[in-house]
Amino acid sequence: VDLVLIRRSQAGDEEAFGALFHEYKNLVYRTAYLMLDDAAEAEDVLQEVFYQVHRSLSTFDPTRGAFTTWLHRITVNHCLNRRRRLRLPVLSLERLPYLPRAGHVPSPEDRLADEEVIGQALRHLSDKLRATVVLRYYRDLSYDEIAQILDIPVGTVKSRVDAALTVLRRRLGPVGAGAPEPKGIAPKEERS
Amino acid sequence: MNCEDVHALLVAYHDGEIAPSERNLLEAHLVRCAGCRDELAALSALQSHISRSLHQRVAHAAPSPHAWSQLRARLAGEARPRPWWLGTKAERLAPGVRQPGGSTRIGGVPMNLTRLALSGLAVAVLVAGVVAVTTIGSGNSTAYAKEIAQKSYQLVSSWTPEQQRAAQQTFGIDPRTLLEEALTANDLKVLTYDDLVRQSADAVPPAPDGTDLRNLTFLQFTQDGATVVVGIDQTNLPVFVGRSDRWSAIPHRASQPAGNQK
Repeated sequence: VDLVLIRRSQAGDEEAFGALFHEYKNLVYRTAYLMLDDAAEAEDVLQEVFYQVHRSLSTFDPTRGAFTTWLHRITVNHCLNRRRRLRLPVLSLERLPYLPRAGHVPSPEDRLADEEVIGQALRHLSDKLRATVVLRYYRDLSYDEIAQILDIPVGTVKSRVDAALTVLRRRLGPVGAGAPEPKGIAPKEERS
Repeated sequence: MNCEDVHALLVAYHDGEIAPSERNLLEAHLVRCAGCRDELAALSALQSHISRSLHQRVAHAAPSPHAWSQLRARLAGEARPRPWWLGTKAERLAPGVRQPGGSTRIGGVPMNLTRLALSGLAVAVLVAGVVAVTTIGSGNSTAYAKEIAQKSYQLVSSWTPEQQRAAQQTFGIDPRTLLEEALTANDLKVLTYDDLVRQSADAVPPAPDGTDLRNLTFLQFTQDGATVVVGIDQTNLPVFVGRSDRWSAIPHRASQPAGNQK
């Protein structure tokens, strides 16, 4: 169905492009929201991404990669550019207290807290690590897909996932009953 | 494979991203090492927690219900019928976004909006006294004026959306719309600085940012009964616009537009 919409959109069918927009608007918006931590910025990115998609759709070749990979790439690039422009800070590891959460059943209040805690924890990641985490753990993409989107080797994806988990583990504390403290399994964090 | 080796591979192992040979060795180690099994369990819990929290964080996040209508309006503005001399839409497209394995370039021509900081009022004075027209160019002045307007239009069309918006704020009008109006006007003319000075009843003020007005080319045309003058620099960049019925409506913008500058 998507390929049909893409073909029709490439042929100038605005109705098909509208359907494409509605099909993928949440993917773009929510990815941008997690990257930028700001609803208004995510709204802007949504506009810019689909404007770019509309202008560049004629260059998209489905035989060379999935549409979602292409769309993720545009989205992440817009987010990274925006973060660079806004100079959003990366917090130091010592700025916030640890939030140990071991050994209890989450309540609805805890789930709300989880959303806030993960938001705080993400702010401790560099832009590159943050993008990797969002693509891996929100979009559930493979290392190979992330490598294509970020235009980096698969090995670099692996090292970024390791580095991001080390930071997040420190921020989130042990998760689940009996979880041990971090043992330094990850390499040094990259900074953008 | 010792514990240190295993720890270095646990994340990729959990994500299903290690080679079968490594997986076999790692699993053999896990069978006999309770510490590494605990570490794997903690890692698994952490990743599940992160994934769940991220999904919860955006579970109710949704774009504005007006998002599509906003985009459609923007796209519709771009898709207005165009004169034949503006070329095809494909020719006006900004450089595309790379697909995996290709070459990337988002955005395009850098724009220096500091050059847009000329005073609209200055332009008003400059053109308010225009009483006659002196034409330049060899042979066909209208064709020459259209050639300049078309080149400027092509330059403006290559800007990124952010640059387009910045320019629109600066001019008070989308510069593409302005140049389209120039191209469709039936009295489009091109003037030199000296032409304007000769035809002006008032003194021409100096450009506030030191720009030498003598290096500019001026397109003049009539729109809705008002005289419009567009100053174009040597790189085809429109640097200011003046309009005889609302001279002072042109805001200053002395700073460079944010974003996508390469």
